[in-house]
Amino acid sequence: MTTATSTVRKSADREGFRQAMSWLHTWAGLILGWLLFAIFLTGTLSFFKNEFNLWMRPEMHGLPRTDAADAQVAQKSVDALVRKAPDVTQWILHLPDDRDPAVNMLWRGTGNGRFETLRMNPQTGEPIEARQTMGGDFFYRFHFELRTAQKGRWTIQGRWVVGVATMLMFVALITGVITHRRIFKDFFTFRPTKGGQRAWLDAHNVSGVLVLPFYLMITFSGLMIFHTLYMPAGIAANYKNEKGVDSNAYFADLQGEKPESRPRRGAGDKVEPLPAIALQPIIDAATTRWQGGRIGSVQARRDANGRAVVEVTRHEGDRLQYRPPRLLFDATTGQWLDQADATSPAVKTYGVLYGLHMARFADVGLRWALFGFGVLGSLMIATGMVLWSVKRSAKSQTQASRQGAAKTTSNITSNAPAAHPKAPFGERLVAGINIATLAGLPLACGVYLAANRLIPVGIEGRADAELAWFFSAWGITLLWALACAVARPHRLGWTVPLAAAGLVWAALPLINALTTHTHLGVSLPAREWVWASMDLSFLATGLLLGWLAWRVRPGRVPRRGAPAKNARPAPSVPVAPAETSTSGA
Amino acid sequence: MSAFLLCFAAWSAIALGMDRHHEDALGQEGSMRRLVALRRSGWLLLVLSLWLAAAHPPGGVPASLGVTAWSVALSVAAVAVTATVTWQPRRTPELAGAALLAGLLARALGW
Repeated sequence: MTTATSTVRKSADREGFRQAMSWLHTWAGLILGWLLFAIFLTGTLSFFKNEFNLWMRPEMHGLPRTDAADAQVAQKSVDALVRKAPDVTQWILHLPDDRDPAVNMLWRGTGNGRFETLRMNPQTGEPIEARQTMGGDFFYRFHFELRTAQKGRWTIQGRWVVGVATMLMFVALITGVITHRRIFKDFFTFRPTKGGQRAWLDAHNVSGVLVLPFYLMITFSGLMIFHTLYMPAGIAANYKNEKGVDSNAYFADLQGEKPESRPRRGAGDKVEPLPAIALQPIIDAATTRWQGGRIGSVQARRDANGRAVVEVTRHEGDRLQYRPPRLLFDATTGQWLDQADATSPAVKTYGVLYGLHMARFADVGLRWALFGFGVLGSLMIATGMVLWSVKRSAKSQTQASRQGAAKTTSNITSNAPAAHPKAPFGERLVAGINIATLAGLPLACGVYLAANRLIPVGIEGRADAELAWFFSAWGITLLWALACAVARPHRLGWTVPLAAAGLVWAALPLINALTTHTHLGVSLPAREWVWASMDLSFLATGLLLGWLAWRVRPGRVPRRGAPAKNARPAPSVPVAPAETSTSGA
Repeated sequence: MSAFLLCFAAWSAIALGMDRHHEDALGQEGSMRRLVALRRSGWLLLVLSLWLAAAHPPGGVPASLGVTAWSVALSVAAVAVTATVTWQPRRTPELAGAALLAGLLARALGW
């Protein structure tokens, strides 16, 4: 083999490699893109999980910001709990902070061992009777286990599906960098005025490359968080005891605890109720030990030997690594026993990845920035999906015009309408599911929030009723999209669901004003920014979706170079030859 | 905040060091030397802002959080520069200069 042929072969190999990567990028993206869009968007909303939780429980409005010391708040809440349930065997108390004004108490008694939730007024310890809703936890649960009901069902299966999608997202990201190799050269290049495929490609590239570190981080850490589920073999090989796999020891290592101090309780186990506990000295000791660091939560339970212990957990916002350090105290004597914290390098790395994903450390500015990244990521996926359609219809268009030119018959029918009236079934199906996902999900989220205000408070199964509204809205959009894109392609296919979504989101502040006392008329004068900015953001989302709907309305004459929506670029769109467009950008 | 401003200035310099954007912003082609100098100063500024974020994170947060906030600022600034060269290309140099000054000022104030 001569050197000349080997270099030729090398470059051919490289091209072949890129083609293969491009193929992988296209199909991995297409097959799971819809699911990934849903995961990405709901995950993005989860950055504001606490704020959604608050907004969707207007009964929490007006809780006083308490200046009382942590110890007083905790003591008052626990006293109130014990009055309500004297047989409590374990409680976990989350102290109020900047993002959540209430005391959140999880507790269980000697009964069936199930945890119950209680929200309490931090000043008085009185329980707050909030409406039944999943709140922001629905977006959160949906994004990693495709939760469809308040009580978990199919959650393991859901996590597996999300895991597969995440893995393919990772594949799509890496192959994307190879496929769109010009992204670094064209780093800042966005040419919306060029229109057509070029604009979509620019949008896909720019939204992809500028925030690439975030995508890689969020995807990889998302996979790692559930490594115990996805990759159990290593644990099974290294953590063995006489009964088989000792997962308890593994989790103890993962959390920097001693295996014997981990609470374990079977359903039938009898546990003594907790004694009265003086929290003041314990919390004081913890504050001193952490030199003024914030306290996130306090827990009391019986350990494996039946001794009552109190565990004080530092606030999650105090460091990057997830699973903050915990101090263990004897509940009766108040004596300090142990500090639990992960210290080994591997577990620390895991904690940092986990922490980066959860972003509990982020203050308001950082949180909005991360939210923006999430939105950009969703746009990256969305533009990728649309690009698939645009590219295909552009291809069939050029083929048609080429054929027309070759035949030199000035046949009018062979010229313009190649993309339509009838694109191949597959393309129409993709276009339809694009509509159902990209326009349908925002609509469904808006409907879910509206349902939170419109479904009567106090009916049976209210939380699931809200979800029913969500999934119905999504399902109806799917039917609509199948009708309007697959059965009888029509440009209204995009406009109607987008306009509906815009209307619902923009109407949310109004619905809120009619049904609660937490609306803008109250929250703005009182400078309750969390409440006000929720309503204002809903309004902005509505306007944005409405603007999109307006852009793609059927009667609109596409300007030269205006972005063509769906599988229908304007006939004047400059179309790059298909070969360069797959590998060239 | 200072990380964002410094990154904005740095990305702008890198963008201005690219043929297409240099022409869009200044109306003329830059010489090869000038482009290289712009790109290099941009990269230097990026490294400097990273060093500042790691060695002296603002607000007394741990270095790990400082670097995290910096990498967020890095991407936000990249998006902002892309928006600038897309819709306000002529303003890019002024904005970059202003960001550099404001960034240094913010840094001095400990933001």
